[in-house]
Amino acid sequence: MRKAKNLGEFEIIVLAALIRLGTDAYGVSIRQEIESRTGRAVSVGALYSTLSRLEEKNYVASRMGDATAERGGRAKRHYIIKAEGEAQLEKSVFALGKMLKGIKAWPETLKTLARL
Amino acid sequence: MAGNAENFGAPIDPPRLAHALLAVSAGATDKAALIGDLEEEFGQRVRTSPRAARAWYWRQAYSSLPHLLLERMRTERMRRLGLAALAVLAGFIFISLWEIFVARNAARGFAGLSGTPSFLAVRIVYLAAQMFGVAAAGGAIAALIFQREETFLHNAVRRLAPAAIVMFLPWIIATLNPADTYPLSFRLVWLALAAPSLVGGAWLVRKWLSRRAP
Repeated sequence: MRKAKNLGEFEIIVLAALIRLGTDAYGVSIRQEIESRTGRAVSVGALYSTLSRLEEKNYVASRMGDATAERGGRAKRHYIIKAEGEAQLEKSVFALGKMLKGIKAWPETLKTLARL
Repeated sequence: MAGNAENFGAPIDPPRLAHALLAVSAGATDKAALIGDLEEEFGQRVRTSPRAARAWYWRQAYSSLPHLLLERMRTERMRRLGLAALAVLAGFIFISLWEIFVARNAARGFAGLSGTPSFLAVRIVYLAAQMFGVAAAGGAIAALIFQREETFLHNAVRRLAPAAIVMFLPWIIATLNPADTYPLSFRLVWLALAAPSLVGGAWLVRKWLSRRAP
């Protein structure tokens, strides 16, 4: 097994969205969750290529759901974070936290984050 | 197609061209889910404003294309084609720099040997060095594409990939341009050597990277 590296920024965001959404995580809900929380426009292509990479790294698992008429008869692909993904997310966030600790450059941002 | 939203009684579908582009670009595994997601959201948006919904669909299509194509290059049979196109761009950059910094100086430096057997040896060494550089350029691109971790360079290459593919054909056409200062026979030989060097360099690096992975 290759040594696991810290996650990229968008990978962290996607994994966090999967934890927030639980069993309801699929393309549309993940995209909308990220856009509403970060205010960042997310393309469906970027999302699926990241999910595919995370699945390859064994951090997420997916299963096909039922086809619905509103989706033109196409099935949803549901995603769930795996224990390995949670562990890697914790490791990456911890590393980031250690880097940010003590930095006084953005006091307002840190205060806002503490309130959330 | 969506068609679940109504406008004056007629169903409104997503833009056909954007839909087709996405359908062609998405990998087989994700295609149904990805198109279905877009269709579902398009159906929600079209109720508010059909025009805005169509614009949103187009934005999703063109911002998704580079990601989808790169993902397919990385994971599917298209990887060889994509790799070759990117390697050609790397070779193009290398040759441009070579022309600027090496070719003119070499021509001046070895002008005295013209017509002698030593000159042939110089030309062979010169061409070999050029092809080695081209292969190295292809290898560098392959290394950036196929390493799994996200780095600044990796992301930069992902974003440059569509431009690389677009530049592939003009470069071939420019090389075959009759107005070029080099004789056509030389340019054809050069192309015949450069293409395998590029792809060969990329292939070697790809093989080396796959050996490193478990």
